[in-house]
Parts: sequence; structure tokens; C-alpha cells
Amino acid sequence: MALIRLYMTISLDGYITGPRDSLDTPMGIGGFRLFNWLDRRNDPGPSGQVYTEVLATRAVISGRRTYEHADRWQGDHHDGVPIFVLTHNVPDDPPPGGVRYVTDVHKCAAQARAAAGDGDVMVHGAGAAQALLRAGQLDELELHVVPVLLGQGRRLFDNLPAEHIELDAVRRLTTPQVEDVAQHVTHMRYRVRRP
Amino acid sequence: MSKTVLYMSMSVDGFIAGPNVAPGNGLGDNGQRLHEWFLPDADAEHRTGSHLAGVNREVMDEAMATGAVVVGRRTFELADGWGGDHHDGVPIFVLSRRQPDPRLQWPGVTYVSDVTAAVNMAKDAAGDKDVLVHGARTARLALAAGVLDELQIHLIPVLLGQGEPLFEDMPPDHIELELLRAVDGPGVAHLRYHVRTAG
Repeated sequence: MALIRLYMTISLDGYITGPRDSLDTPMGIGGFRLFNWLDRRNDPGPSGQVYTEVLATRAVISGRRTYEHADRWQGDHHDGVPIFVLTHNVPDDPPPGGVRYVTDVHKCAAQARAAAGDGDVMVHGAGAAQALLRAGQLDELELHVVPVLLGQGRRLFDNLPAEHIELDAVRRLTTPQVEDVAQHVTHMRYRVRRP
Repeated sequence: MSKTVLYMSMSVDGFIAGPNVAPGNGLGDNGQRLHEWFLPDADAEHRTGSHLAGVNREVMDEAMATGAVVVGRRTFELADGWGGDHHDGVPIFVLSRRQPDPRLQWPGVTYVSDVTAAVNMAKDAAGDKDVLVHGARTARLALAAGVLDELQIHLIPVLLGQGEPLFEDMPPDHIELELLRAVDGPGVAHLRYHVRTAG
């Protein structure tokens, strides 16, 4: 069965955007610093490998905020794979391209797994990830840990229940020292442990 | 030359303690989970980590080879001052603007009001050895003053979801790091970073 995996870039101190993120400033102040590693997404090496894996996923689950902040990807995140947008309020206008709106997290996960077939499902955004975690439907996290301290901004998770969630580290890919230090990143993959 | 190194256990989502940190609950609710890699049993002899092996042992040995400690007053008080001896009787410099608590004074403990002064005194005391920095608030002050050299993060595979972040409300000029070393031990990834820019 298709795995549901969160892909998220995060500062070492746990922030996924800079402060004051908005539609006009989707990554907050200074937050685009987090994406420097993507400059190497088409090169050999760990970042290229991880990005190739991203593009091999066969369905996308996104939260509404991320979806809107990304300008709805014009309906195509990659290769036209189906995009399931988890939202409380379905927009009135018809969804673009391969987008479907889903209000129930369990249905969202089931539909995305079915759509992905032999591939995996990628998750975008902290809101969707939290909803999936709460529902026991998030299987893995691939975190791109950037060697920077943002010091403020939006955190990956800060609204989970107080019961913590155990993970198992399954892979760590680290940028070779020879690469430009501004593009360094540590890709950490974790499996969510089921109780 | 002596370096200042923050040693900190942190969850994957960036928390260094659970919620509701208070005296008697120094790591917050469930925060003990972050220290299980070197302290599986809350009653065990914790700071020497004598039961450790392999990578975890090596990293703990490095921390215990430091020649002085700089610690924030809050962390120091939550730990009851470690009875005046963090490890091997090395000098402890407590960052505080208030008068010392008479119950938390020992010969090796010095209260200092300024972070740069505290770091300079600790480096002098440590000689060739490194200085262990304890506490997120003190680390934040040291970063802002440009006197924190390295971060040794023990990244724990758990999502706390709530708690005390490593850093918050820092100035918006972010701080660039460089990964010096990454090693994986049982239940923890040790990531050591050099601070490239500060302030």
C-alpha cells in the first residue's frame, strides 16, 4: 500500500517559515533562506536524490493554507498527479487541474493512497501533516533540516496533543562538505511509530 | 583554543522541554523523554553516563571533558545547582542579574551578570578545554553577543508537539550554521554545528 510521507524543509530550530507569513509573503520574513538546498535539486548528491524521490510520488496531500500560498500550483504539482486538498471550507470555484477538495482526513488519506497505486503519497504543509498525524494516517516524515537558526516564525508542529509521538529514524543523508555551504542540508527520514 | 559549545537534546519538532516547566518539573511534561538517550532511568547516575557505549559514550565524554560551565540562572536553579558540581568540579559561571540564592552558592560557582564576561571568565578557567553552555536562554544571549562558537544538538526521534522551543523571539536576522559532524547513536542523532554568523 502507498505510504503517506511528509516532505518539509525546516530550520534546525524547528521553523518552517520566517515570521509574519501571509499570502503576499508566503515564507515569512527571510524564510526563503530555507529553500537554498533546492538549488541542487537537479544535481547528483543527496539533495538531487531526495528531490527525485519527491517527483516519484504519485499523489499529493496538501493543507489549504499551503495550497493557497503556493498559488494552487496552477493545478499541477508535478506530472499531473492528483492533488488532494484538505480543507474545512470547499471553495465555490471549480478546482484547477488535478485538484480535489476533501473535508474528511480519513477519506483524504484513503483516496490519496488509492490514487498513488504502487507509488507513495507526499504531504505538503504543517496543517495537513498535523491532521494526518492525529488521524494515525501519516506514515513517514522526510525533513530537510537546514543549518540555520530562524529564531522565529511558524513551527512545524505546535498544536499537537500533549502525548508525544515516537519516531524511528530510518535514513540520514548529509550534504558533502565540498558543496557550497549555503546549500547544505541534512535530510532526515523518520517512520511514525504506531501505538 | 577554547570554544563555547551548547549541548542540547531536542525533539525533531524543535522542542527542548515539554510544556509546564516549573521547579520539580524541570524538563516539563514528558520532557524526560529527551534525556532518555543518556538517562534511561530518572534515578540513575546521570551526568557521567557510565552505562553508555559507542557513539553516545563518545559524545557524552566530550561534554564531560569540558573545562568550565556557563549556565543560565533558571536552568541552574531547576537543576538545584547540581549540588555545586556539574562534572569533575569544573568552575560554573551562572548568568544572573539578581543576587545569588544563598542556598545555591558553592566555592566553584560564580554569578556573573553579563554573558560576554561570563564566557570570557569561563574560557580563562577552562584553559585549552572547551566551555559547556547550558540553557536555551543563555545560548540565545551568547548567540546575540557573538560568543557562542558551536551547537551540539542531540536530535531525538520524537514529536513533542508542545513545549519550550530551542529558540524563539530571536532577532529576525537569522544565524547561519555549518554542520561539522553528524553521527547516529541508539535513539539519537548527534549533530554538531559551527556558528558562522551571529548577532
